[in-house]
Amino acid sequence: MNFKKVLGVTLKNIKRSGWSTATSVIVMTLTFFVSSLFIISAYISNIVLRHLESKAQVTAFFKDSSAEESIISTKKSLEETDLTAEVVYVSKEEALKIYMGQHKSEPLLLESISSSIFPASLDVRAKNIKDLPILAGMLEKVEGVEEVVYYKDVIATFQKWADTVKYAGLFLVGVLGLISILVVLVTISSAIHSKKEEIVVMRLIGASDWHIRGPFLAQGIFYGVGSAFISMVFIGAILPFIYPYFNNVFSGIPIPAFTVFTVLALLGIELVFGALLGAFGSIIALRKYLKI
Amino acid sequence: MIVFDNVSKKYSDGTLALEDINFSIKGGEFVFITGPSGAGKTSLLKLIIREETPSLGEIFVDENSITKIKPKEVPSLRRKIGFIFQDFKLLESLTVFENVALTLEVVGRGDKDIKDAVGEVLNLVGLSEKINSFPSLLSGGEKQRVAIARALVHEPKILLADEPTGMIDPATGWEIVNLLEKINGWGTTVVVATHNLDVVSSLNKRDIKIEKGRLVSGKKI
Ligand SMILES: Nc1ncnc2c1ncn2[C@@H]1O[C@H](COP(=O)(O)OP(=O)(O)OP(=O)(O)O)[C@@H](O)[C@H]1O
Ligand SMILES: [Mg+2]
Repeated sequence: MNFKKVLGVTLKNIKRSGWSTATSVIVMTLTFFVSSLFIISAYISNIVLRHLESKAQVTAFFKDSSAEESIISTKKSLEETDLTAEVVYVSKEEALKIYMGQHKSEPLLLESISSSIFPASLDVRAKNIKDLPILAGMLEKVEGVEEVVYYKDVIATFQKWADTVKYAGLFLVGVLGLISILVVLVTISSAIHSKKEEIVVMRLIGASDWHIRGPFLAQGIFYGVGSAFISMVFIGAILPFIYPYFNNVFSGIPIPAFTVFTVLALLGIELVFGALLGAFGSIIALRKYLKI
Repeated sequence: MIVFDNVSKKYSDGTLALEDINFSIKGGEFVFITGPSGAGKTSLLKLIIREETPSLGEIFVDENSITKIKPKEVPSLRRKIGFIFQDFKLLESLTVFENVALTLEVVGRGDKDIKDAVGEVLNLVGLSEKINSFPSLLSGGEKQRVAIARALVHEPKILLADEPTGMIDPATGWEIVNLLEKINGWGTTVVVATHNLDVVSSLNKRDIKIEKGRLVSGKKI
């Protein structure tokens, strides 16, 4: 049986399945739509998390009375702990320069400022952000340290939020995926059932297994692929609205825009998963009802 | 061509439909299988296409034992055999054309090929003008001819006909018998199961007689 024939028989079966076809496609489209949303939010939260992590550092401000040598020796001993990725010493003068760089456009403000009002500091980045509290604790005990500041809470909160979204998403996608398989299973089973007589006759006149199974398998795959495609059309339609939303929520964090390539990659992955999901539902139905 | 070697068939409900059947049919032969209703004629034909498997004994088609073949090999056995079912087994949802075309689709013929061959065979059985009708609108005799066309259209080596004149008035019955003889003349092995003894006696062909599942005569080649 050639491809065109299988397609012909499949389309006929799909038409005949009517409401079951509609149900299958709606449920599977929903599954893929929700999956896409979660993939997109996982992608964005990953970017945000990486950004926050790269910014994650402990800053220890030193009292004006602290000698530069003692700060440098603190820097050395921190570097020897093996926990730090980088330790940067920012002297009072450098702090002023940084401040001036940030406020170039306000000469009046700058005139009245001298390096004496800025504290010297150590910016410490950890190899692993989990070690930030340890480093902060160490710095707090150092003689001459005025204040220790770090972003630990922001990151932990965001990480928690991202994990919750991820697990809830995985769970929801899992449940919807299971329902999709069941819906395809029921649809294909009833399609097989309605063609029972025809299948018996085809067997008797010598149809091979795959001649009989092919169109049913193709039907399941068609539902999966079709639904994945429809859901991507919806995603494509709402993407221009999602993007500014996230950009707004995470203002200051550069989120790369979705390119045609990312969207096509997502479409490709979902088409493959659609085919697998549909095929899986069909195969279960075929195993159940078309035993030899 | 077709050999039954000590074949018995006992159905799962305990009915012993065939017992100790031995015969052989040569390639190109025309053979009747006769016996009263319930004798086991249909059961015997079903064994040849492996719709049923024998409880004992062995069956050969084209020198190959079909008793031990794998399920995967059954389709190719069935494709070389045309079977005219006693109850026709036409599909009500398909037209006459589609019913007959089914045989060719199963063997993987192209659309053009199918159109030509179906047209030709419907012409042969005299049903050209019913090509687009559905079986439910056909008379018993017309349905029978569709069943014959479907069994013939792929030019099988072996044609098994289960009561092919059962639903037909005597005149049309003779036409069918002539048709079967004609097909046999082209080299096809034809096996006709029937209890229509008029037909049998008018043609001087071998008659394998069975009664209550046992072979009565006709065993000799
Ligand atoms: N699937 C089955 N299960 C149990 N018994 C069966 C089955 N098929 C046929 N039989 C029995 O086997 C015996 C032979 O039946 P079969 O249909 O082969 O007879 P037949 O010679 O074709 O009869 P007829 O001329 O009426 O068509 C009968 O007693 C019948 O009831
Ligand atoms: Mg019978």
